Amino acid sequence: MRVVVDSALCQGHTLCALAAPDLFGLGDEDGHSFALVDTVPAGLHEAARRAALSCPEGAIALAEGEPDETAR
Amino acid sequence: MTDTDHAPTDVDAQFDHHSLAHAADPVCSYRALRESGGVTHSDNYGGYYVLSKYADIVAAARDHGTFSSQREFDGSGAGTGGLSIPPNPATRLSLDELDPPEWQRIRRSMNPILSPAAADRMKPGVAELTTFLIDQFIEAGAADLVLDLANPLPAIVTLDLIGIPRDGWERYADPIHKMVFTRRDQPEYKDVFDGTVWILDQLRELIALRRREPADDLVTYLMRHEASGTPFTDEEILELLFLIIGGGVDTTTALLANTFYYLSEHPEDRRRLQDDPALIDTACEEFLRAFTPVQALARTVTHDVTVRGVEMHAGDRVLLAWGSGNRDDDQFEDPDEVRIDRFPNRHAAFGIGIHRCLGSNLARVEYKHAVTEVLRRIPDFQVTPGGAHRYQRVGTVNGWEQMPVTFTPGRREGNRRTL
Repeated sequence: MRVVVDSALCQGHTLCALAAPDLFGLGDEDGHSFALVDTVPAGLHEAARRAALSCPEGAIALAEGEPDETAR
Repeated sequence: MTDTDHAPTDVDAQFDHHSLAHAADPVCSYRALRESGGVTHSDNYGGYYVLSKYADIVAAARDHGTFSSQREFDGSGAGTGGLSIPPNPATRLSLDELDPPEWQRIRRSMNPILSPAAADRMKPGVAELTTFLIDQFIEAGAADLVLDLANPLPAIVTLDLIGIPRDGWERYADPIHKMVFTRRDQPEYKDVFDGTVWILDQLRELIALRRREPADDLVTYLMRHEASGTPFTDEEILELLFLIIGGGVDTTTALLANTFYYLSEHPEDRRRLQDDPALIDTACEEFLRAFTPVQALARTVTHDVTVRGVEMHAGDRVLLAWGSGNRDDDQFEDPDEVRIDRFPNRHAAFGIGIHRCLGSNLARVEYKHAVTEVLRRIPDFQVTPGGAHRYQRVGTVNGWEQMPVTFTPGRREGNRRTL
């Protein structure tokens, strides 16, 4: 699974970082979100989905079905 | 009861978000608007549309090209546009009443001051102030959670941020408090207007002082900071400071007051928060949604647009009713139920789009400290029956004037003896 924050849509609500603090960082300057990982570890897939759902601007996209650490 | 063609009704034409009728039950009043088509035209205040459906409100807030925030303000009280219907005669609200590109220049300068990192750095100060304020009443077994905590905490944090001395904080908080629910035709209005003018005069003096004597404070930072190369004028700094005060003082007070009232009335949820402090964050978002401290703000249409079959034209005024969108059952399951673990919760209480509340991170910090400490130090607080009074009018801010409570007395914890 990959996670992408659309910086044109993000307005710094910070709810993604609340839902998944291991996956999203918040910029020092404006509090806008950025993904901390390219590939979401298997144990955090649910947190990633919750974060995407939490965004009032719909700024978080998940690409599921990508190779992750557990795929062989 | 719903028409497929949206035809304005008598009820629609008389809708007034500042009216006593609306304030008697704003949840019901907005629900009626959603159920009668979702796009309402009122004849009041020179005429305005009200968007009451979440989807329309969010779309309009994101489309700042069509739904402008720009205020033309000539200083005489007249002018067009802006966030308030009817307009605030005393001043323009800086950022909030600007469109890009001017908006961008100011927002970029202001973002670092209230970013999550900045709000984090303010936590120790907020904690110390919260301890102090509760210390003032904890031994008495009785207090007013609005007058003694929900009002002073955000007001003093805001004054500290700007670098204004704490003593006399009420002279700043009071007009801001009253401005949002006092109508121009009420006798009290003159005091509110004069109080607002006093605040602006104090801010002008502070700005003039800092031009002569810079300090390590916000005003000096704004004077020196040149986002995109153009220094801020005194007038721009004045509007910004007033925005910070207006944005930070009464709004967070309303969030806290509604939270305390709810927890007094719902001991089962109070118990859940006490037993599982991790719920405090989702509870915050739920109180924001259900009580929506800033109920509605306006925009001006810049070119012809159709919303849900209703044609609007350039110059039309439109009210984005955040408080209504936050209870729209097309967006939220059982919207009139307060669920402190609700998820997802994509509420619009801090706005949507580029004008998302600049102070949202600080608001959440203040909420978390105040609510956690009240639950810990006066866990059995109860609102005195009949003693709590909401604002008479809730068109802009859904707040409380007072909230007397009783509780088992506790002990002081802080070292501070004065503010």
